[in-house]
Amino acid sequence: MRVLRVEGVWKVYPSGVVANRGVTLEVREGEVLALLGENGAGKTTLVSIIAGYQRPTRGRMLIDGEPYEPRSPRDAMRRGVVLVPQHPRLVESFRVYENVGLALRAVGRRVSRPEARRLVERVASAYGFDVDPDAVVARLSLGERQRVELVKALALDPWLLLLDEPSTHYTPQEVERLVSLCRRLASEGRAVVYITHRIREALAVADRIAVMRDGVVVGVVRAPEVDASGLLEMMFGEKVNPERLRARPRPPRRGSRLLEVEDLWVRGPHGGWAVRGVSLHVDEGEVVGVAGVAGNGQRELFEAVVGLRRPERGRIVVAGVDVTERGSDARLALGVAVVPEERLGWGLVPGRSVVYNSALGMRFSVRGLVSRGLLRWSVARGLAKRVVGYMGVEVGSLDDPVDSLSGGNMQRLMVGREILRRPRLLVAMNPTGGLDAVAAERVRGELVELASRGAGVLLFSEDLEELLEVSTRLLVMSRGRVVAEFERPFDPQEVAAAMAV
Amino acid sequence: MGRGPLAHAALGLALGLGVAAAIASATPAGLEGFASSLRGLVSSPAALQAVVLISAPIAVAAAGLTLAYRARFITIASEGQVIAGSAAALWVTAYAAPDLDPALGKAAAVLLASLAGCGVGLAVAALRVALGVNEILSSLMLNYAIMYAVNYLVATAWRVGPFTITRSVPEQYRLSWLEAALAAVAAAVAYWFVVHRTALGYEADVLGRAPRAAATYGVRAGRTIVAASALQGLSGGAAGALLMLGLQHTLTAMSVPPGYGYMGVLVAWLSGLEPLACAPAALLYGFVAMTARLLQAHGVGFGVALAMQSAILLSVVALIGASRLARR
Repeated sequence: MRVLRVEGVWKVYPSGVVANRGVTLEVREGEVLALLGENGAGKTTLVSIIAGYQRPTRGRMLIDGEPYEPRSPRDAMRRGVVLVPQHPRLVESFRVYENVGLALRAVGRRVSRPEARRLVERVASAYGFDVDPDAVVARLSLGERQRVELVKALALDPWLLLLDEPSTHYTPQEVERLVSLCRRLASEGRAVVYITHRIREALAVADRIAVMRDGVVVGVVRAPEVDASGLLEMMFGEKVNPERLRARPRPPRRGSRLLEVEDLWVRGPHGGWAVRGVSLHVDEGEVVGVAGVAGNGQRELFEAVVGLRRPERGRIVVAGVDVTERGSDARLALGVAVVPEERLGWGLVPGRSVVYNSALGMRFSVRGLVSRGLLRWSVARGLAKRVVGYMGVEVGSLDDPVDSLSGGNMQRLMVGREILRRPRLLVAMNPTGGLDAVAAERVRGELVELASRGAGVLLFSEDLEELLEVSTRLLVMSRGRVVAEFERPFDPQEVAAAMAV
Repeated sequence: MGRGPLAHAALGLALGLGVAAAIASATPAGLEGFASSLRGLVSSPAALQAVVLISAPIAVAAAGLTLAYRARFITIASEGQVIAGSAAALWVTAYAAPDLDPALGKAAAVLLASLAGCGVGLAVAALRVALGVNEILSSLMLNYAIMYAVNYLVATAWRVGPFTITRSVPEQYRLSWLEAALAAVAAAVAYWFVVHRTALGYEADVLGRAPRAAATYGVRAGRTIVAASALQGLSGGAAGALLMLGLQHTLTAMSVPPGYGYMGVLVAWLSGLEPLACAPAALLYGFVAMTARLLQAHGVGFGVALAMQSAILLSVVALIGASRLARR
């Protein structure tokens, strides 16, 4: 029986951040091991060490008692260890089968194009994936790309599959399918490590659950022998009452109109209509949720509203000013804040410090940050301190590059900055993506709080439960149109039915 | 540049000198000629001053390029700007106002040269922003257009005597090595300020590193590129004036661009896009170029000297690159 053993692994990053402090863990073939923990607990670092992306500072790994020291992902793949990263890393201009061919090449298997294509078809049909081998990756949604990553990993026929937050871009139905896929892989005799911060998912998928906190494994339990509150306590180290964390939206008092979108038509990245005649509005005190299965025009609508994409027809009016033909600067000046879907490159500037990133776009919101063309770094530093303090961002130094923060801390930094903007209108897309339960509730609470202070929130989310929890009004998008609108109290079944249309 | 890249640069220099020595041993000058050139260089104040005069224009051109490159606006117009700037400086000092007060004349030459460079920068940016023309191609072609335009002036209006050569910059306008060095330092500090202390420098950096974040958070790409390219152009033109007043003093017809602006491109990247690091990096180049010149005095052919020069620079660039990779 094949076993991977991790013994006393430490990882200290050059910035001084200690991500793993003596992790010991075992995974055996034929089991699904869930690696559960809040953001920044060290889960991603651990699997990237196992998969050869990083090298441990100290400690060792063994496969079947033999030393295992992967020097690169390729090394690990050759030993049958494959990581599916949280955010797909595919060559966007390549077709699906070309990406798979590239991975095979990395492990020394040169296959012809038709062979690669057939392999994709075979893996997809064997495991019941809906994947078009000829699709160009750039045209796929994030959820679809995550499926391609899975197919690519399975094409390598690994004995140990590492899945880093595999459900990030999935709908609830897709998560169910993923869980049964993992069960099947285990029954085929493979080992699966399933990283998640969602307790329910861990309980559904795993044979054993290893809980990580502050860079160590604080306990390993058999899934049937533990319940959610036990796991929550292990994750956070103290009694946490999930009910206390719940955000409670208040009924909005009808205020003035902050956003009016009229008959908006927007083309997608490849020229077709992605948004077909959407009209919506957000008033003061409202949280308007936009639900829908990913890839139904939400992204293009979001991009048009925040000024990243010019609509072909229609109008966008922010606080009474027509901004349809104007850029994001005009919107920011009117009090719009934006939380984009991705962190690095979209909402944060990689390779630059926390201070630098706290200043992004803030010249429109904070007086004195820029005066006479000069950027005042002392003001920016003050902003960084406030964001970090307000959102509890864990950071070594304000001068550390944002890349050295964990995903959850980056998200806190980004959301905190947008809230500190004191926006009149916040436009957010999946703002709790990749956050653990406590941090996600905190962000939802902030959205509700913003609205209760009279701001408007337009919230795009793939997490229906989240939308049901915080929205005052809920729109459902399908094929570029708003196909349904609901007022509180929502009937979850009715909303889900509208999404399925 | 931190300690790592500096150490690697030193290692690269040692390696490059080794390769150059190996090449030299195969030439008539031999290893001894190479060694004596090096000795001659470090022991001769005149040679060292020449090193500074060669390096200064490169350092100035590079300092400005760091701003444009931070915005990922990959202009190579510095070459054309240097040519235009030297022509402008020559025109002011040798033709338009040969009898001005020295300080005033130098200032006028630098000012007009900078404006000429700025104009070139604006043209490249305008082509990109208004028409979507790739700046690498437009600036490359513009460089040739400028070179031939200046050649035309040299062969016609500015020509003196039977040869295609112009008048010389009068003695009182010529720059000493110290003045050139001070100019390079002043340019480095000025561009450091723009890059690190102004909203433009910040927004250019955001635009280059994260274009999507820039578009989301109110950075106007077109305006930023035009401003960065215009400011960059000032440095290219000023570098031309420095070259004319400090080193060349006259113009002859060019068959290929002389390369000071292109070397600025290399130095800007070598510096890690840090304006303050451009001067030391340019000095390295000046040192190597001067060694190659001295070698020619020992009977080494121009081509061979160029090969040695390239070997040294390539080694330094490769090792600095390696040190950046290692730090990832």
